Amino acid sequence: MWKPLQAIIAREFLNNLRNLRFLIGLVLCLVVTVACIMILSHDYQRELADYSLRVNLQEEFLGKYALEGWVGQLIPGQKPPERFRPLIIGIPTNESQDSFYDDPLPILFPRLDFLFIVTIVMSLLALLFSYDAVTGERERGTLRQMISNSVSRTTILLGKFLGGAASLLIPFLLALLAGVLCIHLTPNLQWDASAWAELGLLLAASVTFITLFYLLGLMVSTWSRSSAVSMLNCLFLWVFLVLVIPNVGPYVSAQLRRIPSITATARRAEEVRRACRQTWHQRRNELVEQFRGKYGGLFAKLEALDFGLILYDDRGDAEKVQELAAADPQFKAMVDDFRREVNRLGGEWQEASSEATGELWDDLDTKAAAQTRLAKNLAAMSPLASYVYVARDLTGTGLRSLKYFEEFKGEYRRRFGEYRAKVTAAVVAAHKNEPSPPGGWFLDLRDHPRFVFREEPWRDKLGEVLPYWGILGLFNVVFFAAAFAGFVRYDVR
Amino acid sequence: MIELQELTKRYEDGVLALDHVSYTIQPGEIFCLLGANGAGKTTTVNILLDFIQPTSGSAFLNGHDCNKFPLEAKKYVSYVSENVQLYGMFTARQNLRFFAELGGKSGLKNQELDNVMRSVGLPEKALTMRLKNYSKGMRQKLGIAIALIKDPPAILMDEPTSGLDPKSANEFLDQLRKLRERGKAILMTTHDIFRAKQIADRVGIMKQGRLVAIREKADFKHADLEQIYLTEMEAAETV
Repeated sequence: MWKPLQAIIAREFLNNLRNLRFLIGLVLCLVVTVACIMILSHDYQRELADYSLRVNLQEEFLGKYALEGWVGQLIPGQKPPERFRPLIIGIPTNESQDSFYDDPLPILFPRLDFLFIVTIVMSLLALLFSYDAVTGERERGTLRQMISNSVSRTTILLGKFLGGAASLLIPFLLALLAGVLCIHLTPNLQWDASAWAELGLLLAASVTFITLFYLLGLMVSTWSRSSAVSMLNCLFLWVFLVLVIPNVGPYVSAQLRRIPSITATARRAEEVRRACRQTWHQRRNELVEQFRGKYGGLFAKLEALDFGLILYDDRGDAEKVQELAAADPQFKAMVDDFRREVNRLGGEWQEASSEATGELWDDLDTKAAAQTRLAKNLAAMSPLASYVYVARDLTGTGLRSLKYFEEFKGEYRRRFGEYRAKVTAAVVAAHKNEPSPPGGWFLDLRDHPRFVFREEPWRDKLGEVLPYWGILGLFNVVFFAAAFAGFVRYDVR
Repeated sequence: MIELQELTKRYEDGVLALDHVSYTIQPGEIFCLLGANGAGKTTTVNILLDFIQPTSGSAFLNGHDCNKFPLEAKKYVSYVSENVQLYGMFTARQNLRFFAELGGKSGLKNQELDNVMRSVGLPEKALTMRLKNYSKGMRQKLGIAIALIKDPPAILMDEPTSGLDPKSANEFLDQLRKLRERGKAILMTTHDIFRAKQIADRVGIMKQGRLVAIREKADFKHADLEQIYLTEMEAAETV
């Protein structure tokens, strides 16, 4: 079996190499990949410069305006541009969009990147290489000649797959090699070992994705009688797998797990707050009635002064109440009692209101997370979606990386908070007999802990993406099995 | 040796392509199968190569059942089609090497491949020429070379002289004679009664899936084979 397999692999490989489509694929891959990477590397340089500027400005502000009351707004935590930015455009944040306010075209016409090349260019190229792998041989009559020998159909199919996929991967690998060379020559972009490891994993995931589409074409070819029909079927399946499923997934998820909009939730929260406020007014009136009954004329004095800012924030003669309280201990005791009860009621109202509205927002968050999870899992039925999850999460350009960055920043803020508390305590102790100036004391934060973002370890990322990578592998197995089933019963006449 | 035992094939649309056909082709014998289009000649070849399954009966190559153990049976046969189709972007030598490897002959030197191609009458310049530049006659010769290099005991030829010019057809028949001398059992389907008379040791006449007659060389050596063919066809009509 091994010798005929070798012969078929070599023939398929060389046959594709001598075909015009190989040349087209090679030129297309090289031109698009190198052009993309050069443009994105330039963008990366620009974002890096922008990032450095923002970091320096923040340091400058921290050095000049680190007052106790303001320092909370000056904590560093700028997100640096992703190191894979020259290959993959990350999810835009508000910051980076602001920095490109002068250039709206990237929003109107999204820039091409490595993901586009793999998911669109290479998947179509894979189909172009394989849609006639079997039908073409049948039409040319070479399949009869081949099968008239003592070679199993499994060997022929396997040879066609290995040889064809190898020839397809050559343009891709050459283009990527040229791209990596460009990246390597990009100043200020030093990739460490983990980045190269991630690139290796990205390459492996891309190969899994590309072979999947080669197998799809091979499968369709084994179930079609003519190359024209095979091509049409391939295009139909490509549209379905690449365009329809990822877009339908979120829609189906939204129908299955309906959630209220943010505006509707805000309106509902306002209603809840209003209801709580009404309850508070009612309880407050009951309290006033209770004090009237308990203190009689003494309480009437307080009422006459509009409760001295105790009941209402905007009216009442607080100074007069203070004077009366100073003169009359009984009045003072009543006022203190009343203030305590009012504060207790107010606290209860605030708590009830916050709890009720918090539940509404938490519920929205939970439902939204469930909807997103379902949408993500539904979309994962598309090889494109699964590949995008794998590629983005591996290279730190996806949603997971944003979450990781927020957690990283949160941890840094905690450490910064501890440092600030220590400095504040020292400054307050040094000025303990002096009144605090407006905005608080100036804090000398020159030796504050620096914010240095460290990427998530690649092993952790790999663990996270393995299920989606597994889906890609499963697609490969299913398509090969289906191709095998089609080829075993294929009429070679 | 090629052997058919009560071979029957009925297609899904109900057409009876082969109706209990039996015969044996011995080593060193050329058996020509004559018949009109749809008589069942190509169906016979297709069953022998396991391209299709028989409805009943069996076909054997060198004693191996072609449909139960096709990979084993196909070790002992080569196939030359009506229109030998090979890989146009490859040279004759590359095509020959590829099919030799599929036929279990790997590691052959260029010299060995070239000798086989020369032996079937391919000119020197054709050996390294791409197949897309080959004429049909040259392709048929290369088809014979592929059959030769595998060196099996049986060869199946499905209308191999169809479309060949007289010179090429004569050269082709010379090659067949050489193969017969080397002890190959050859089944050749053809419409060409003239060539069949020239080369066949026996002829089988088929009509609508039935083998209506088998004639020995002695029967047609000095007779008009065409007349025999027409007579047998008419006789089959009346039956």
